[in-house]
Amino acid sequence: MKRSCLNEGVLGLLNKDIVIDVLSRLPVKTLIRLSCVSKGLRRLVSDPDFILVYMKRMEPISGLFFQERFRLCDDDIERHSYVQFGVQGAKVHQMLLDFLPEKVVLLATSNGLLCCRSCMPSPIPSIYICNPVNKDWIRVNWDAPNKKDSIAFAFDPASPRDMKTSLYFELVQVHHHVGRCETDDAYFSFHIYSSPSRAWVKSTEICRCEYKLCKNRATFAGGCLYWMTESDQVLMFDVKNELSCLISLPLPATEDNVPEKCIGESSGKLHCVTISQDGVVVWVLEEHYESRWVLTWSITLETLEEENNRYLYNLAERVEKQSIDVFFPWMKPLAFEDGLLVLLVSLDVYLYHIHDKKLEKLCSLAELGRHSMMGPTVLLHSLSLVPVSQP
Amino acid sequence: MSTEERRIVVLRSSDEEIFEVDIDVASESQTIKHSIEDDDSGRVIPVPNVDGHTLAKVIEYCKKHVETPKSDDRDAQDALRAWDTEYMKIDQNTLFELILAANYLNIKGLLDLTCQTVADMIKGKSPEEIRAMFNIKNDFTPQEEEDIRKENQWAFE
Repeated sequence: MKRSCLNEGVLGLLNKDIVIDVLSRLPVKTLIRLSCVSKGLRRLVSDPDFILVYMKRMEPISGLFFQERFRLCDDDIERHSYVQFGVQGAKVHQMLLDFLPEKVVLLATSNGLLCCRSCMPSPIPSIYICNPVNKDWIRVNWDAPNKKDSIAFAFDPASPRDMKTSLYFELVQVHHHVGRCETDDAYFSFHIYSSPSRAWVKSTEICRCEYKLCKNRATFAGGCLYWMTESDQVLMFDVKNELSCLISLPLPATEDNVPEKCIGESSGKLHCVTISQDGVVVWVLEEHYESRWVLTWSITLETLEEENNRYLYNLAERVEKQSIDVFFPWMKPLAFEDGLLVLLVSLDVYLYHIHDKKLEKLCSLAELGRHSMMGPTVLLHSLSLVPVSQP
Repeated sequence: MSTEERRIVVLRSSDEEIFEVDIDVASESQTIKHSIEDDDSGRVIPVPNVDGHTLAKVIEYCKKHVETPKSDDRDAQDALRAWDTEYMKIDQNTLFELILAANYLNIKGLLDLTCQTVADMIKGKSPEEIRAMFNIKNDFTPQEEEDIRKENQWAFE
């Protein structure tokens, strides 16, 4: 039994296995603080033996990444921000991904890792997988770079991984083919990249759909990827079985009631959040092929305002009027995951905990950029120490 | 000698202190349990890595946990947990000796309790506080330390 592995005062009395046991009981924020204590501890926090133990944990969401997008033009916007949850004072941090070799467009997060692509134009358009905590990153070859396509990213830290091999993840690139003439149907095609093979493979599966994807961000839930399209439908792609279908959303728009919607994952299932005069309603998808949604939680605008009158005022009246001005809704959901709803109300961004019914004001849109009003990319993120490149 | 009569085990600590312990209590330690199974001639079992003071404390834990009947009753569980908390009110040196003993003697419950106690001591503390608590030398240069803090501020402020 090795008695001492660290020259770390009293902790040096303990052998490595024990220190790892203690560390594995600490939340990520504490581990990050520990890595600032001494060089030995810093090394230990990134030690492969520790990472193996650590990888089996699920960390809670503690912030979001935000990037502006133009709604009507295709140009990329470089600027991105990170908004911290649950802290007083300065919550917004800018440009955390500057450690990457070029400017990037954020695409997706999965269990603490971020997937992004080169801002176009770029000499060699690439996809990057990175961990903003340890600033570790890898470049993925991008066979068919196209900034209009949507890229989904799925990373499961619990899947068996030999520390000597690199990270295991999958990417799916969705392309919308528009028919060349009237008789040609428009459809979605899927290209899949799996990290062990390091190659993109075109799936034989296609999904006919006239409408393109409206928010390029995919949601990964229960082994399937979901995207919102510009109609009242969600595109679903089952990665393992390479099957796709279109799912109708629970609350179709009517003439005088156009709900604001977003989709997200919670408890391994796809959820849809709608905001309209009827209030904030959360639905869970129970059956894909029948488009069967079950209402799982709701709150009226009046109650929401009552419980949070410090921030919300005249909510019902203003939301009712928002059907008139579709471009600037008074209240809309920006992202949803694990019971956390990111809301835009007027010009401020809020975090609402569905189960605790707690509303937290995060920041104003102004802090996130001039173009943050149009369809921005909002990615809920949990801190992680997982290394990305080969150790 | 039939097994029913052999209810006592004799343990000797590193500093030659002798402890006579009920066999069930001693068997909370997987290490001692295997020792007994391998050689049940009734000789003294040496525990070379653990001193008398620590071994006494270990035996105290094992005794309590063997004596307390396992039950699903909430109150009973709370009572045992409260006992564990009181038991853990010890100085840092004893705590670390106890972790090492629990590890060497392979007593899962005690190892869990002691490791969790250390983890709870670390949670929520700043790097300076952690250094002070465990007497850890800060071997970063001021510049290195400043850089690391700045880099990670967004994650733990």
